[in-house]
Formats: sequence, structure tokens, C-alpha cells
Amino acid sequence: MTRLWLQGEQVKVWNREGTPAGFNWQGETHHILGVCNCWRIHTRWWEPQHAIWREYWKVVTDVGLLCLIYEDLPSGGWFLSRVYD
Amino acid sequence: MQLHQPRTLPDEYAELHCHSYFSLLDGASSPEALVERAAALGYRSLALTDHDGLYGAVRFWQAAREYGIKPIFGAELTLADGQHLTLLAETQSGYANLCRLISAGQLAGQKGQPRLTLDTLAEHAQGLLCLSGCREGAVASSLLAKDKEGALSAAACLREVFADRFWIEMHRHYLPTDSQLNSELVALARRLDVSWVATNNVHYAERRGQRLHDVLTCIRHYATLPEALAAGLLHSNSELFLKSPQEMASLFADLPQAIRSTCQIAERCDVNLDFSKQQLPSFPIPEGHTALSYLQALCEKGLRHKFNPITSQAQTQLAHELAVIDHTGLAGYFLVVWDIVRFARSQGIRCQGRGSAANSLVAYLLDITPVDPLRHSLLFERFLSEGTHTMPDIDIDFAADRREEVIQYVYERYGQEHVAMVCNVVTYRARSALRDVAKALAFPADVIDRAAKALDTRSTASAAEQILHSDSLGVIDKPDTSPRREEGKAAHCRVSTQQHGVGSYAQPAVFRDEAEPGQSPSLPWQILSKLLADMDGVPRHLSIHVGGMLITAAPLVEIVPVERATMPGRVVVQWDKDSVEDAGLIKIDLLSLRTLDAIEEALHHIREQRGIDLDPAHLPLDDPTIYDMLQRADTIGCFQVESRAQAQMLPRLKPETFEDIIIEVALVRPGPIQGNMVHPYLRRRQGLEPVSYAHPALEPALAETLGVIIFQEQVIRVAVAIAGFHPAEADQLRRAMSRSRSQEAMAALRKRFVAGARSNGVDEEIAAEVFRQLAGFAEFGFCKSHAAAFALVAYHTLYLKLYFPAEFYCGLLNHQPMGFYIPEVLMSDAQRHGVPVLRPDVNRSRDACTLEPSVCHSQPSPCHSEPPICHSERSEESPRSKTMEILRYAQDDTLERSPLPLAIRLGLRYVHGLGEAFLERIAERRGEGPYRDLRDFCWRTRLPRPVVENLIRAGALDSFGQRRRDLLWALGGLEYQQEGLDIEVPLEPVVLPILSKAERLGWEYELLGMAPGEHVMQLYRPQLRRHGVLSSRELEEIGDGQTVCVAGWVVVRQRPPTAKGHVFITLEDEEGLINLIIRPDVYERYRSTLRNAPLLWAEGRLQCEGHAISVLVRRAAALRRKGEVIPQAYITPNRIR
Repeated sequence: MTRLWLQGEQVKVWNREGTPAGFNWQGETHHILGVCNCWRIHTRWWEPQHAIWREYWKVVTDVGLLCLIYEDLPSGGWFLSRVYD
Repeated sequence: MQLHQPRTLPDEYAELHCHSYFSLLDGASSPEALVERAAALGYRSLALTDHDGLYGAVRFWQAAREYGIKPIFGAELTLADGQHLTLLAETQSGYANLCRLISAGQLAGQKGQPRLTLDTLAEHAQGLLCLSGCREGAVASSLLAKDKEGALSAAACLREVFADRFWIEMHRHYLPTDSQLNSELVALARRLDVSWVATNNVHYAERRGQRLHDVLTCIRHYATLPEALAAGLLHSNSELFLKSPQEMASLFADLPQAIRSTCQIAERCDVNLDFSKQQLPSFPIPEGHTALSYLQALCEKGLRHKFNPITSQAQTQLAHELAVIDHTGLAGYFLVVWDIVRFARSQGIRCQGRGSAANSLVAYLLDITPVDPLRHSLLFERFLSEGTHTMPDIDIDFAADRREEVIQYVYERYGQEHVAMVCNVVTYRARSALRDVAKALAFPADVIDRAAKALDTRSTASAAEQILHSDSLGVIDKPDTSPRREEGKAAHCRVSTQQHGVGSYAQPAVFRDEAEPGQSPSLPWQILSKLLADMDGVPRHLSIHVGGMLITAAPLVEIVPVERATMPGRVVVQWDKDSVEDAGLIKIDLLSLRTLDAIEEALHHIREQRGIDLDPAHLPLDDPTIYDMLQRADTIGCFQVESRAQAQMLPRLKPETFEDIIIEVALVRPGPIQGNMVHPYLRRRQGLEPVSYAHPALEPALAETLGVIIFQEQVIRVAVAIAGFHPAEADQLRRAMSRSRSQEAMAALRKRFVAGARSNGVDEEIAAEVFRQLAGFAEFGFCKSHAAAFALVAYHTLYLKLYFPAEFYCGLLNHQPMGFYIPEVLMSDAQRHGVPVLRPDVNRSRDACTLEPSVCHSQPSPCHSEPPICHSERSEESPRSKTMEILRYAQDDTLERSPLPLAIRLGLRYVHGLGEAFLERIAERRGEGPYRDLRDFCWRTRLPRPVVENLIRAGALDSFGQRRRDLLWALGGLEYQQEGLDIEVPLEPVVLPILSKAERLGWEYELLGMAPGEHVMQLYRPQLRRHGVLSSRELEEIGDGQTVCVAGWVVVRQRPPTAKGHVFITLEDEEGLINLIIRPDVYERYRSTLRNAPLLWAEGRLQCEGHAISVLVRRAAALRRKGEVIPQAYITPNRIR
């Protein structure tokens, strides 16, 4: 079952050579084994309250979770957007 | 020569797919901005690949040379099935093929939708490099549609056409599908044994260009941003900017070949756009002649014709000019121009050359230009000299009505392949930019409308500024949170404004004078402002340049692509006049000048009415009455000397000779005013300042302008005299000074100048001072020969106005719009000069204005016939009529002695809302005999009732002898069959009181724009007089510095950009004109009134200098129609003595 967080769950991410290597979410640590895809969205700049500039990473973790995390580029904060089943 | 950038970076990359804003409504940056950015990022080469065009190629080429970057020319072509393909020119012949392909695609499709077939592509593929294109290319789009076979076959096709000059193009734009697509592209490339190349499909120079790009996309699709987002029209991120070579290398770290390919490709390309060696098409020269010898023969014939006796000065000058022409190989060019002018004249089309060409004796002898350069000490070297690297430019003005015939002649003579019109790039101005951008930002329509109308400027940059200042635009931000927004819906934006005070698009109080100061505009307005600033110079569409024609020997399509113009059958090149000139191509400007039509018509009338065959070319230029006219600024209707600015200057400058007119034409322009040349000249002329020269060697060059540098020719003469420059060098100096204002450039020029001066024996200090003066004036100096050519036309119009006013004004009125004033002002001026202007009449008027014998009436009857300006009364006083008498006698003994008073009968076209079809019908059906009465008129013309009503109200049926109200009532009861409009006109209840003068004038103003013989201000005069308001005539009696009140009908409103926010308004009353000057702070206070009121009252201080009178306004109000015409607050006791 896919879980989606519209607002994004805040996570702490650490990088290795520019790509996310793992993240902490709800107290648990997940290591990232592989990156499936990466893309950027930059839109709705005309509504500064709702502007979106993010870099999305679709990743597989060490426990076999397929997740979508993103970095909010202006603030540098990371969020978990989706967990696929 | 420019230096190449040193190689400083290990990663090397060339951007091969890049759009400028010449990819209309798609690219967001100028070619220059892209080059500048590339240079800053360390690029060594850059390609420009706009959609189906090379519009920006020359500007790109210039910028690239300036920054030391190698330019690569290409385009993104649209194929017949709508797919895209990237092509780059490898060799010069590849470039020619590119032009051919673009032209073929443009001409095959409809305007704005070019289409190219693969077959045509194959025919002209030589010398071109092909990249498979973006996601809309055949290969990528097939892969995205899961059609691997289709992709393969498309790629194979292209490979076959381009052989080893074909690459698979790849992008990495951080899109989710990039990864998959690119690996499939690589696989495909391997299968075909084709290499791959990375590009970034650049659409803007820097990341922030995404905003403008999104807005342009919206404009292109007529959508708002939320709508475009919802429809998937916007690119989902901001990655289409010009990235640094390192970033590109890092993006494609796993495919280094993709990066290497870019450099390999870039190295192969070698194209330049210097077409100055192009030949003009060969001119059919008679047997036994060369171009030069034929030219010489024609000149010698002209010499005998124009110089009687032939002076040695003329002969020497001719020999000199022909030598230079020979040296620069331009004999053929002169012959081409001569031929065009010859043709025009043979067809009776009035024309004359203008511009720097009038400096040339050869041009004068060939009848191309009308001014004798020797007589007016003009300078050939301003037009042409040896060693010059720029093409001469000959501009010719033709009578506007008939210019088309001349253009047609050129096309026929040289062939469609060799002739095309130069294009004009129409860029966004303040209003159009605001409308389109605000619409994309989903501003409500009425808000946009008011904001656009409230703009005071044409420049987008100033508009951006204006919007930020809440006072000037009256935008008030209601303090509230921004409204809730639903995904993708634009409706909420509009909803929020309907609730007053809520939301960020609150109603701007654009016409409120009480805008609260200090409130900053809300966010949407700030975003709008920033975008407007970015819109500066952004092209909107192309149109045909007014008259620039390219004539080439080689087929045009090998030099520059052509496309359809909106005029059927016409093609236009994709370069504008600056690009054409920079590419070294020769163009001839065939311009139109309505004044020439008006003059031609006036001469025609003079011939018809008086039997006099006047040839203005033979007029002596020293008639004292004409100079008197000029000094009194009695110049309405006259070319170049009628404007408000001229009217203020003429009484101060007081022209006495033709040379003074030349100076007047050159001096009264924004440039010289800005360059602070006007005041020094005036002071010296008025004896308030001594005439001095920094060095005696300057005297020969500057004596004619009392030591002040005014003409461009003088800049050249000074450089020659002081610094010992060769004339060609001096012209280059002049050109360089007027263009580049950068510190380094000027410093370099000063060094050269001073060095030359020193070796010429001139003191260094003096040389530096002279250089300073030159630098100050070079930017604003005017071309004397151009001023001279124009001054001649001015003189002709003055002459006609003075001696043949009826014929002259008739000519003017039949060629509107033209000149500085609206037709109504011309009509009033005509009347003040003794030419009655008669109402349009269904029995006597034609479509255009005509001339009739004038009849004097003793009493005006309010509803009958013509107002009584008794011509003979006025003519007794004026010296003009005396001269007229003498003239007539001297010209033709058989003419009658008594003056022939003529009146102008306004044409039916002057009745507002009549329309050509109805107009023609009236004239046509009158053929059987004049209309006898209303019934006869209606039965024969069958015009729709509303139209007949308008004619009645305008007074066009006055000659039937009935009152207008009665006519209207009779019309109501008349049964007849109407032809033309399907509108039910209800019968109005009968109201029969006599028409008051106010009503009648009101009708006439509404339908004719004015009331012939009368003036709306007459209605107000009694009240105005009671309140001490002065008329234009009375103003002349008042002394300088007095406070006065004036009122009138607004006929001119000006806000010249050089006037620092000052506004100039001209009022007209029944006696003449009143000039108002309004300072910026006063303008702000009475903005709405000054912008909109048609009838204005103003109070201020009188400023007079001789005949130049103006009122420096302190207060203003709109005159009211009823009751107290001036608002109570402004009525003060009579201050005037």
C-alpha cells in the first residue's frame, strides 16, 4: 500500500558525493542502497506562499522500501513524500 | 580585433542548441545577454538556434566578436509533420543552404507556421550539421511514444541525408523521463553507429529567466499561468538556462563523449556574416560605357543643367566625388538609385532624397537630392569617403500615395529573387507588455485596463518603475492575507477582487488624486513590475520596415532567409535595418512622406484654379515675408517648423536666411536640447555671449553656427582641421563617439585625437578641450544635409501657405493624418488666414476636401449656410495679398487683377461614422442632378436613417433651407426604403424648439470634430470674460511674469522623454493657440484633469520672450458644461490689470 504525505514528512538526510546516502525518519535509520530516479520541479513561482522548488529522489532502502524523498531547495530541508508498496 | 578568451577550464563544452528571444514568445534572453553570460562562464563557442529563423544572427555575431566567443549559426527547424530538428552551419555554403531551407519552410507554410519537407531538406543538406533535436524531434518523440522502430527509422533517414554529419542529441533537464529516454537514445545511436552529443536546449541565459519564459509561453497560448500549469504547457522546472561547462560535464559524467562531441562540432564550424563584398545587381549600361563612365556622362549633363555658368568649384568637386565613387566601386549603386528616382518622376511621383546623401554633388546632379551642396557648404565625406568600411545609405522620400508603384517597379526590374523588404522587429512597449503579462498573471481584466491606460510612458523599464510607486498609479494595497488558492483555478483570483478590500488584486485607485502615500504595492504588482523590466526589448512580432529594400546580385536566399510578409505577394528578410547594415548589405530606403502628397495636390489645385504652373524647385529662397512668418511662428501646417517646440524657438532664433532654417530644423530636437547646444547658440545669436573659438583653425568650420558645434559634418571638419585626420578617419571618429560611451573607448579616442593634434602643431590643452566639446556634441549632432533637404520642403510649405493658402490647406486636409496638429487645428488656422472652411454638403462635397469660390455673407444665420468670414476684409490688411497681386501679374499677364477668394469645402469623409460605402453612394447618385430636398435625398440614396440623422446634425443638409430640427422631424415621418443597415430606429416624440447654438455646436463637434466658422469656446466666452479669463489674442498684451487665467480646447498633449517629467499642453480658442507648461509636481496634482478634460481652464504665470508665449501652470480644472463653467473653488477676483 502506498503511503503519501501531502505536506511531506520531515526527515534528516545525509549525503555522500552529492547524492543522499541515508535518512532518519521517526527515530529509525534507513540506508539508501540505490537511486532509481532523480528530478527537479520548479513551479508556481507566481504565488510565493505556494512556490515549489524541489529535487526529488526515488530511492530503495536497505529494508527494501521504495521511497520518494525530496529536498526543498530554497531551505535545504528534506522531506519524505511517499512510500511505495 | 578581439582577443580570444584564454583556456582556463579543464572541462570544455560548447552549447549547440540555444534560443534567444528571437524564437518569438519562447526564448527569454537577448542574443547579447546569452553571449555575455557564455563569456562569463568561460565558453569559447556558442550556437544560436532560433525557431525557423536567423533573426538574431547579426546581433549574435556582433556580440560574439565583442566578447571573443566563436559564434555558430544554426536554427531549430520545424518539419512538415511539426517535428523539430537542430541544424548548424559548418561552412559558408552550408550557411547559404540553411537560409534556403529556412526560406523554403517559411514560404511553404502559412505566415507564422513554417513547414519543411524531408525532401527539401535532403536537397540542401550540404555543409550542414544535424542534431536529432529536442523532445519534439522525430527520434525522441517516437521513443517517448514507445515507438522504437519509428525512432530508428527516423534516425536512419536523417543519417542517410546527412551522412557523418549527424548526431543523436541528448538533454539532462532533471525530468523524470530523462534517464529512460537517454539510455534508449544511446542504444539507438550505437545501433546506427552514430555519435551522440549533449545540449541544454537553452531558453534563457540564467535560471531566473524561467519566469519570463513561463509568461511568454502563457502569452503564446493565450492562457494565464495557473491555466497553463494545469494544462501542462509550462516546463516543469528551471533547468533550461545556460549552464557552466563544468556543470554540463558533471551532468554527463557517465557519457563524456557527449561533451567531447560539442567541442568537435564547434571546431568544425566556420561561418561569418560579412557580406560587404556583395555586388549590386548589374545595371543595364548603354553600349560603349562602363558604370563609371555612364555615371560621369549623366553627371556632366546635370552639371550643365544646374550650374549656369559651370563653376570651377563644381567641376573640381565632381571630379573628386567620381574618383572616390570609382575607388569604392559604387558607381553601380548610384545608377540604381538614379534609375528609381527617374522612374518615379516619369510617373509624376514627387520625391526627394534626404539624409547624408544630400551632401553629395553627384546625388544633386542626378536629381536624387534637391540641395546644392556647394551653396550650403555641405561635406561629401560625411556621406562617402575612401577607406570607409560602411556602406552609404541613400534614403528617398516619396509621395506616400504612390510609393507602392515605385516598390513594384523595383521588384519587377530586379526580380523577386533579388529584392526584398527589410523587416522591422516590433518589440513590447509599456502598454502591450503590461496587458500581456498582467493577463498571464491572472489580473482581472478591468484592473489591467485601467493600469494600462494610466501608464505615462512607452518604455517597459519606466513602466516597471511606475508600477512600484503607488502614488502615481494609485494602487492601494488593502491589508489582508492573500486569498485561499485552489489548484489550477484562476477563477478565485477574479473572485477575490470583487469583494472590495479583500485580496491582493484590490482595485487600483488609478484616477484618485488622494492616493495615500507611502503604501507599497502588493506582491502581484511587484512580480508584474519585475517582469515588465525583463520585457525590455523583447520582440513581439515582425513587420515590414517602412521602406528599406534590399537589392542583391546573388539570390537573396543565400544571404538571409526570407519569409512571408502580411502583405500578399511580399516577402521580407529576417533582418532589420541595423542587422542589414552591420552585415554590410546595401539597402535603399524608399520612404513615404505625406507632405509631398500635400504639396503635389496643392500645386495641382493652383494649376486648376489659377492656371499657374508652379515649380517649387525654382523658388528663390530669400522672400522676406516668409522669414517674417517664421519669426512670428505663424507656421501651423508647415513641414518641420510647426511643432510646439519649433513655435517656441522660432521667435527667439528669428531666422533670416535659408541657412537659419537649416539650423532651426537641426537644432530643435531632443538631442541638441539634451546636449546643451541650443542655449549657447541662442545666446551668441542674440549677442549675449561673444562668439569665440577654442582655436582659430576652428573658425572656417564653425563660423556658420557661431562657434557652436551643431552638425555632424562639423565634427568631421573639426577633426580634420585640428587633429589632421583624413576625412574617412574623422567620420569614423564621429561614428565611434556617437555610439560607444564607455570610458575606455572614449579614452582611446581622445588619445588618438590629441596625438594627431599635437603633430598638427596644436597645443595639447586646446586639443583636449576641443575633444571634450566634440564628445559632448557628437552624440546629438544632426546631419546638416538632411536638415537642408528638410528645410527645403519646409520652405516650400511656407511659400504655399503664404501665397496659396486655400490650395495648401486643402492639400493638407486631404492627406491626414500628418504633421503635428489634428485636422481641426488646421481648419481653424486656415480660417484665421482668410480661407473659409465650409461644412460638408451633400450637394457640393466630394469624398475629399475641395475648393470653391468663397462668398461673403453679412449676417450669420444660425441654421443656414456658411459662416461669414469675409475674405476681402482681411486681405486688405495683410501684405500677403499685395504680394499675391504682384505675383499674379508677374506670372501671367492674362489673369484677372482681383484676388480669387477660395474656400475649402470639407469632404464627406470628414463626417464621423459615415463610412466609405455610404459616402460613395451619395456622390454617385448625385450624378443625375443635385438633391432637391430631404425626401429627394432619402429616396435616391436610401441611406439608413441613423446615417441621414448624422448628416443632418452635421449640417450637411443645411443647403435645403430648413432648420436641422425640422429636418430631423421630417425624417422621422418619411417613408422610404433603406439600403444598408438592419437597425430598427424608433420614432422619437416630437420636440420642436429651435436648436440652441450650444446644441448645434455640440452636434458639429461630435460629427465633424469641429464647427466650421465657429468655435466651442465662443459658448463659454461670456462667462469666462466675467471671471477674467483671457483669450489667446488678449494674452499677447500681457507682460512677462504676470499671473493669468486662460481656457481652451485641448489640441496637443506632450510629455517628451527629454523634458524630465514636464508636460506640454496646447489649447485652442476662437482666436488662436495657447501654450501651457506643466511641471511634474503640478501634473501629479491635477493628473486626471490634465489627461482627460477636453476643455481646460488653467491659471499660472505668463512667460514671454518676444512672440514666444507660454503659461507656467499652477492650477487647472476642467470646464463644466452647465452652470458655472469654472468650479467655485477656482474663481478668484479679477487679478488682471
